[in-house]
Amino acid sequence: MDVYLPIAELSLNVLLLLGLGGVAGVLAGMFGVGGGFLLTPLLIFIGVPPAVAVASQANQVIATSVTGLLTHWQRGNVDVRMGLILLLGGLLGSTAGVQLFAVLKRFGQVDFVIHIGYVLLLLSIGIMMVVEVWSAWRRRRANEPARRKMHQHFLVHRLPLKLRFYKSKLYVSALLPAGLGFAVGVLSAILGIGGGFVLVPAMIYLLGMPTAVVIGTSLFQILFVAINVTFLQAVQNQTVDVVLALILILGGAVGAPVGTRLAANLPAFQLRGLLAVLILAMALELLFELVAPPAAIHTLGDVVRMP
Amino acid sequence: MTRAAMTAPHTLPVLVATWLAMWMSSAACAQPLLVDLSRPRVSITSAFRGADVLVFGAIDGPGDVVITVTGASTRQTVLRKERVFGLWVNAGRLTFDDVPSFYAVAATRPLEQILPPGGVAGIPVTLDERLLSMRALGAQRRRPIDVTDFRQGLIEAKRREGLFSEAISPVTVVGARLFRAELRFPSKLPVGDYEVRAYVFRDGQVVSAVSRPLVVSKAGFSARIFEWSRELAPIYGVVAIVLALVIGWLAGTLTRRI
Repeated sequence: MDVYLPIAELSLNVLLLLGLGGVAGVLAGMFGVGGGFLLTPLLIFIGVPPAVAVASQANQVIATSVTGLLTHWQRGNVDVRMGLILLLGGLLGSTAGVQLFAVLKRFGQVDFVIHIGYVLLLLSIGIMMVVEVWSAWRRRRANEPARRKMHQHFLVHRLPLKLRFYKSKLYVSALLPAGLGFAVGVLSAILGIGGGFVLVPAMIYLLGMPTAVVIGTSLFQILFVAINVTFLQAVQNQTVDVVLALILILGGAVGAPVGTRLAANLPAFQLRGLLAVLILAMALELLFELVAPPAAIHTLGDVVRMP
Repeated sequence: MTRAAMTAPHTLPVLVATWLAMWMSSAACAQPLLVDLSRPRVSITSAFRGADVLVFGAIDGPGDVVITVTGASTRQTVLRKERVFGLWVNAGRLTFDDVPSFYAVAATRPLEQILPPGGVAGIPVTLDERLLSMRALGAQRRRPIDVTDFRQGLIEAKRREGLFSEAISPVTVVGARLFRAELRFPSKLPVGDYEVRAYVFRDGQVVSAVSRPLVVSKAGFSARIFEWSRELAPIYGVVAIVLALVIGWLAGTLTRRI
């Protein structure tokens, strides 16, 4: 059963799209990540134009992050003050990112930037996760407890505009979360991901936030940045395919609780290792596509009706 | 009749024959070439997977029938991948004017047996003849070999998407008077006003020519969505956001109940 995607301008199998959304949902439920990092390359792989895949993905991120945020909000795991400052940077960053996207689109380089962006993103995340899993495994073998300080003091703690964040038990410069939000906002606009993947480790290791409030606070920022990106992409680049997004969202809504249940019954440690391998494989596949001689040297670019 | 033609192809010859008999019994008999399409419009709906359009008609004597289908004239950019630091990047680009968005030819016999060598002046039939009017923008600043390379690349890319057909589809002649040809349109079909032209060739000369319009447009739900995304972009964006919020919220509350 095929469905015509009006903005992507091609027909694709509904079940395939639902399945992709479902896989992203399972990942979201299992690891608390959006799954966009896997979904966008897969959509591009089945023929969706990269610009449309990225913009529609931002629309999908809204749904997954609101679902997650609801849970964390009820448990009081959201540092609103920190979230707002992250968001301030995020709104600026994503707005700048959408402008950059429009420029790249005009020069016909959007596909390449998305492609190489994903290679770099997936490679760095994959390597980070492998290292983390490896050291956790070694610690477990040595039966050592994880060493953890409240937080470390870097140069960044000398920045001005210090603010007190009660829920995170932090006293840091507002420039730090704002800058982090900005960087993730740019990524979100160009790659269509929520950015939880980058945001969560940065909040733990760079800001030194307590793990309990990290996920909820990052979802708070991701939700509003995704809303901003979706709106701007729709208005400026007209690349949001609402039909595609809705199918992915429905698939994800079914997949997420499955993922949560799976995560509860499977050993978390092995799961993280599995995810790391999956991400690295994806990164290598995308890299291979960039390095290997393409099947076709020439492709069709912009087309306009002649007067 | 159009509906019947679409759903039951095997009844077509009968229908066409009856209709043509009625048609020719009238004054239309005097016309040397009669042509019509099984439908004047191809609608791209949410279930669109390509379309077949039947061209049929009558000729008043011997000769070969050649049918050309041309999409709207466009300004098309071609991108070329080049190797930069070991990576394949879209490094080259060239824009051409007057590129038909679609081009296909159907004929009773191979074209080289119908057309005189070099073709008929002013009547483009083969793809190469049609593309003679195609112009590269800023060609004077490019090396000629470069323009040729992009031109060839454009044709290949269009062929891959089925927008320039490689083969000549057959035109079947029944009883030396009636002819029919099935035109196949791919699923990735550009919208616009198409033109279906039928020619009768006799001894390398065009005896008569008739043109019929064919409209390719988005229709139904997907057409509305596309229009809204262009004309009401801010509202479209807000609706997309609200839908995602509502579904996400519902999914969150429902799964906690279960």
